[in-house]
Amino acid sequence: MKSRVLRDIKARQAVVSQELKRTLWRHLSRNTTLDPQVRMQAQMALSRTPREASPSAIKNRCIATGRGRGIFNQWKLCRFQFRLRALNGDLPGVDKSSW
Amino acid sequence: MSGVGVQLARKLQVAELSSRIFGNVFNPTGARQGNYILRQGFRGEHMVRYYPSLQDQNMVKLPRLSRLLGDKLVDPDEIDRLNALDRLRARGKGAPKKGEGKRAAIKKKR
Repeated sequence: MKSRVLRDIKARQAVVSQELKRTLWRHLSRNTTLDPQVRMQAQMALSRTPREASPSAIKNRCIATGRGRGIFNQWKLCRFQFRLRALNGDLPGVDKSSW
Repeated sequence: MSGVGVQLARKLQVAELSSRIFGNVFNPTGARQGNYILRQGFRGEHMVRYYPSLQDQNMVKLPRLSRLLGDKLVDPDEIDRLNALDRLRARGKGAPKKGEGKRAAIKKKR
Protein backbone atom coordinates (compact mmCIF):
# COMPACT_ATOMS: atom_id res chain seq x y z
CA MET A 1 0.00 0.00 0.00
CA LYS A 2 3.02 2.22 0.49
CA SER A 3 3.55 2.52 -3.27
CA ARG A 4 0.08 3.93 -3.75
CA VAL A 5 0.80 6.60 -1.16
CA LEU A 6 4.11 7.44 -2.85
CA ARG A 7 2.31 7.73 -6.18
CA ASP A 8 -0.22 10.06 -4.60
CA ILE A 9 2.54 12.21 -3.06
CA LYS A 10 4.17 12.47 -6.48
CA ALA A 11 0.88 13.50 -8.04
CA ARG A 12 0.40 16.18 -5.40
CA GLN A 13 3.82 17.60 -6.16
CA ALA A 14 2.96 17.57 -9.87
CA VAL A 15 -0.23 19.52 -9.10
CA VAL A 16 1.77 22.22 -7.34
CA SER A 17 4.36 22.53 -10.07
CA GLN A 18 1.77 22.73 -12.88
CA GLU A 19 -0.83 24.75 -11.03
CA LEU A 20 -0.05 28.23 -12.40
CA LYS A 21 0.19 27.02 -15.99
CA ARG A 22 -2.98 24.98 -15.73
CA THR A 23 -4.90 27.91 -14.25
CA LEU A 24 -3.86 30.21 -17.07
CA TRP A 25 -4.70 27.63 -19.73
CA ARG A 26 -8.02 26.92 -18.13
CA HIS A 27 -8.81 30.62 -18.06
CA LEU A 28 -7.84 31.08 -21.72
CA SER A 29 -9.82 28.08 -22.88
CA ARG A 30 -12.98 29.08 -20.97
CA ASN A 31 -12.89 32.73 -22.09
CA THR A 32 -15.40 32.99 -24.94
CA THR A 33 -14.38 36.54 -25.79
CA LEU A 34 -10.96 35.37 -26.98
CA ASP A 35 -9.93 34.24 -30.45
CA PRO A 36 -11.09 30.65 -31.09
CA GLN A 37 -7.60 29.63 -32.14
CA VAL A 38 -6.13 30.83 -28.85
CA ARG A 39 -8.78 28.92 -26.94
CA MET A 40 -8.13 25.80 -29.00
CA GLN A 41 -4.40 25.98 -28.32
CA ALA A 42 -5.02 26.43 -24.60
CA GLN A 43 -7.30 23.41 -24.57
CA MET A 44 -4.70 21.32 -26.38
CA ALA A 45 -2.01 22.45 -23.95
CA LEU A 46 -4.28 21.40 -21.08
CA SER A 47 -4.83 17.97 -22.55
CA ARG A 48 -1.07 17.59 -23.06
CA THR A 49 -0.30 18.04 -19.34
CA PRO A 50 0.02 14.75 -17.44
CA ARG A 51 -3.15 13.43 -15.88
CA GLU A 52 -1.62 13.33 -12.40
CA ALA A 53 -1.13 17.12 -12.44
CA SER A 54 -4.89 17.54 -12.33
CA PRO A 55 -6.18 18.22 -8.80
CA SER A 56 -9.11 15.89 -9.39
CA ALA A 57 -6.70 12.98 -9.86
CA ILE A 58 -5.59 13.38 -6.24
CA LYS A 59 -6.94 10.77 -3.85
CA ASN A 60 -7.02 11.28 -0.11
CA ARG A 61 -5.63 8.10 1.39
CA CYS A 62 -5.33 6.85 4.94
CA ILE A 63 -2.14 8.25 6.47
CA ALA A 64 -1.74 5.14 8.66
CA THR A 65 -2.40 2.31 6.23
CA GLY A 66 -2.65 3.90 2.78
CA ARG A 67 -6.17 2.61 2.24
CA GLY A 68 -8.00 4.53 -0.47
CA ARG A 69 -11.61 3.93 0.55
CA GLY A 70 -13.62 4.80 3.61
CA ILE A 71 -11.48 7.76 4.69
CA PHE A 72 -12.60 10.26 7.29
CA ASN A 73 -11.13 13.45 5.84
CA GLN A 74 -11.18 15.22 9.18
CA TRP A 75 -8.74 12.66 10.65
CA LYS A 76 -7.19 11.43 7.34
CA LEU A 77 -7.75 7.88 8.56
CA CYS A 78 -9.62 4.93 7.11
CA ARG A 79 -12.66 3.74 8.99
CA PHE A 80 -10.92 0.88 10.78
CA GLN A 81 -7.92 2.93 11.95
CA PHE A 82 -10.37 5.61 12.99
CA ARG A 83 -12.30 3.11 15.10
CA LEU A 84 -9.17 1.70 16.71
CA ARG A 85 -7.83 5.10 17.64
CA ALA A 86 -11.16 6.46 18.74
CA LEU A 87 -11.67 3.52 21.10
CA ASN A 88 -8.10 3.94 22.35
CA GLY A 89 -8.78 7.61 23.08
CA ASP A 90 -6.19 8.96 20.65
CA LEU A 91 -8.62 11.23 18.83
CA PRO A 92 -9.58 14.21 20.94
CA GLY A 93 -13.29 14.92 21.03
CA VAL A 94 -14.31 11.55 19.60
CA ASP A 95 -16.47 9.42 21.84
CA LYS A 96 -18.38 6.22 21.30
CA SER A 97 -22.08 6.86 21.45
CA SER A 98 -25.07 4.66 21.94
CA TRP A 99 -28.76 5.49 22.02
CA MET B 1 -39.83 55.26 -27.78
CA SER B 2 -36.52 56.87 -28.64
CA GLY B 3 -36.38 58.24 -25.11
CA VAL B 4 -36.15 54.71 -23.66
CA GLY B 5 -33.30 53.86 -26.02
CA VAL B 6 -31.38 56.93 -24.98
CA GLN B 7 -31.94 56.08 -21.33
CA LEU B 8 -30.63 52.54 -21.87
CA ALA B 9 -27.55 53.83 -23.66
CA ARG B 10 -26.88 56.27 -20.84
CA LYS B 11 -27.30 53.49 -18.27
CA LEU B 12 -24.75 51.40 -20.13
CA GLN B 13 -22.36 54.33 -20.24
CA VAL B 14 -22.73 54.86 -16.50
CA ALA B 15 -22.16 51.16 -15.84
CA GLU B 16 -19.02 51.19 -17.98
CA LEU B 17 -17.71 54.29 -16.26
CA SER B 18 -18.39 52.92 -12.77
CA SER B 19 -16.76 49.58 -13.62
CA ARG B 20 -13.72 51.45 -14.93
CA ILE B 21 -13.55 53.58 -11.79
CA PHE B 22 -13.98 50.70 -9.34
CA GLY B 23 -11.90 48.22 -11.30
CA ASN B 24 -14.80 45.87 -12.08
CA VAL B 25 -15.32 43.89 -15.26
CA PHE B 26 -17.73 45.49 -17.73
CA ASN B 27 -19.62 42.65 -19.34
CA PRO B 28 -23.19 43.75 -20.24
CA THR B 29 -23.91 40.75 -22.51
CA GLY B 30 -22.88 38.26 -19.80
CA ALA B 31 -20.32 36.57 -22.05
CA ARG B 32 -18.33 33.78 -20.37
CA GLN B 33 -14.91 35.19 -19.60
CA GLY B 34 -13.65 32.44 -17.33
CA ASN B 35 -12.87 34.89 -14.55
CA TYR B 36 -14.21 32.47 -11.96
CA ILE B 37 -11.11 30.35 -12.61
CA LEU B 38 -8.82 33.23 -11.66
CA ARG B 39 -10.91 33.80 -8.54
CA GLN B 40 -10.59 30.19 -7.35
CA GLY B 41 -7.15 30.51 -5.74
CA PHE B 42 -4.40 27.91 -5.51
CA ARG B 43 -4.90 24.82 -3.36
CA GLY B 44 -1.86 22.78 -4.40
CA GLU B 45 0.25 23.84 -1.42
CA HIS B 46 -2.49 22.63 0.89
CA MET B 47 -2.75 19.34 -1.03
CA VAL B 48 0.98 18.67 -0.71
CA ARG B 49 0.75 18.95 3.07
CA TYR B 50 -1.79 16.09 3.31
CA TYR B 51 0.62 13.30 4.32
CA PRO B 52 2.67 14.00 7.47
CA SER B 53 6.43 14.31 6.98
CA LEU B 54 8.82 11.91 8.73
CA GLN B 55 9.43 14.47 11.48
CA ASP B 56 5.70 14.85 12.09
CA GLN B 57 5.32 11.07 12.27
CA ASN B 58 8.04 10.83 14.92
CA MET B 59 6.39 13.62 16.87
CA VAL B 60 3.13 11.70 16.87
CA LYS B 61 4.79 8.48 17.99
CA LEU B 62 6.42 10.04 21.08
CA PRO B 63 4.19 10.38 24.12
CA ARG B 64 3.03 13.95 24.52
CA LEU B 65 4.56 14.53 27.96
CA SER B 66 8.00 13.20 27.09
CA ARG B 67 7.97 15.46 24.05
CA LEU B 68 7.64 18.39 26.43
CA LEU B 69 10.21 17.21 28.98
CA GLY B 70 12.71 16.01 26.42
CA ASP B 71 13.92 12.86 28.21
CA LYS B 72 12.44 9.47 28.96
CA LEU B 73 9.77 9.11 31.58
CA VAL B 74 8.98 6.30 34.01
CA ASP B 75 7.66 3.18 32.29
CA PRO B 76 5.16 1.51 34.69
CA ASP B 77 5.30 -1.83 32.83
CA GLU B 78 9.08 -1.99 33.19
CA ILE B 79 8.86 -1.24 36.93
CA ASP B 80 6.30 -4.02 37.36
CA ARG B 81 8.58 -6.45 35.54
CA LEU B 82 11.60 -5.56 37.70
CA ASN B 83 9.56 -5.88 40.90
CA ALA B 84 8.33 -9.31 39.85
CA LEU B 85 11.92 -10.39 39.16
CA ASP B 86 13.00 -9.15 42.58
CA ARG B 87 10.24 -11.13 44.22
CA LEU B 88 11.28 -14.30 42.37
CA ARG B 89 14.93 -13.86 43.34
CA ALA B 90 14.00 -13.32 47.00
CA ARG B 91 12.32 -16.74 46.93
CA GLY B 92 15.28 -18.27 45.16
CA LYS B 93 13.22 -18.84 41.99
CA GLY B 94 14.99 -16.41 39.70
CA ALA B 95 16.55 -17.33 36.37
CA PRO B 96 20.00 -18.94 36.80
CA LYS B 97 23.14 -17.07 35.75
CA LYS B 98 24.87 -18.02 32.55
CA GLY B 99 26.76 -21.27 32.91
CA GLU B 100 24.76 -22.41 35.94
CA GLY B 101 21.64 -23.74 34.27
CA LYS B 102 20.55 -27.35 33.62
CA ARG B 103 22.10 -27.55 30.19
CA ALA B 104 25.45 -26.19 31.39
CA ALA B 105 25.49 -28.87 34.15
CA ILE B 106 24.99 -31.64 31.54
CA LYS B 107 27.81 -30.28 29.41
CA LYS B 108 30.20 -30.20 32.39
CA LYS B 109 29.57 -33.93 33.12
CA ARG B 110 30.78 -35.00 29.69
